Amino acid sequence: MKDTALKSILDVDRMIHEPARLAILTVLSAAEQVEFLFLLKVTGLSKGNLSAQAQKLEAAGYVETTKGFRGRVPVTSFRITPAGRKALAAYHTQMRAFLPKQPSK
Amino acid sequence: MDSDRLTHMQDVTRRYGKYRPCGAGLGVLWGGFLLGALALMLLEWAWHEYGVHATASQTLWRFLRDTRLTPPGWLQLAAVISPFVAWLGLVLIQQWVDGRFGAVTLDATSECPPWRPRGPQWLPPVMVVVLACALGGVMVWDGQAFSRGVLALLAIAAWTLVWGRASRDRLTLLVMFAVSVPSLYVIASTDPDANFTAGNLLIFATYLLLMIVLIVQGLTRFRGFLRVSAELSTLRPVEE
Repeated sequence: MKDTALKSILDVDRMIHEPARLAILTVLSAAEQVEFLFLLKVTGLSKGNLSAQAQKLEAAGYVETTKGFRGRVPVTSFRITPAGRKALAAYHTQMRAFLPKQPSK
Repeated sequence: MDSDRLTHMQDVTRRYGKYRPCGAGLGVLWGGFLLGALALMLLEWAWHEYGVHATASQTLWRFLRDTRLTPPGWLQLAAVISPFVAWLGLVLIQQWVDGRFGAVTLDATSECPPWRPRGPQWLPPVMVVVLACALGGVMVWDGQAFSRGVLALLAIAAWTLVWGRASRDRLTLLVMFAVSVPSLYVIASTDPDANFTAGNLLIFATYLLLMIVLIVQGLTRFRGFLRVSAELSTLRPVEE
């Protein structure tokens, strides 16, 4: 039983388990498309860290990036991919399995 | 990272995406201002014509019903450019709002709560195009094949394809609908065989009423936007 639990913990998707990336994917899962500026405000990450984490998620195929302009200002937008959504759901399922069951009243 | 915090972040994102469109509701004020200004211009012109040409026993309504009036050039111009200026203003207001916290676009299916009847998003722009074509047809039928008025109606119909495709927010589309339709009737009243002026006053009154309802919705949306913006500023940063 312990071995199974340990294996489950080791199987956790490390790409999502990191708090910053988990926060980014969670925010993206609530919308169709989110701009960099909003992600910055809602997560409170620094620009450099947010950029780096988003690149990692993009490299993993969990996030798609679109670059455009608002007037003359460059704007970067992100959207979660179906693979990212699936991985996030699997991560939540795994995490719930680790939690001790609530005693019934 | 605790799940409550993640849920809260999702909730803030959804609410922000819900309240953000139509310049966080402020776009409605812009649309209302334009429609109100156009209505005032129409009323001022009608009142002036009434003062100059009416007989002593004629009421304003009777005068407008019985007299063939053609709107002056400045009123026609104001009517033609209203939908263009309205949309450009909405875009600028939206850009200003998005410049503060960024844009969030929600899935089309999540924008409307399940208990509220969903109207098709294409209906307001399609109604404007149909009306423009119908009024243009009436003008051509009356023997003014492709007069300036018909071309203006077609220009507004073509512009509808731009704003109708660019937004799927119900409030934005209804604001553009409420600004565009009265403009169509002002332009159609340049048809010398028609006598639209009295009817136009009723049409403007109807659309101003619609705009008041939209302004209430816009202000409610703006209040929600202010709340969620304040919440965004107080969120704790994620551990790096």
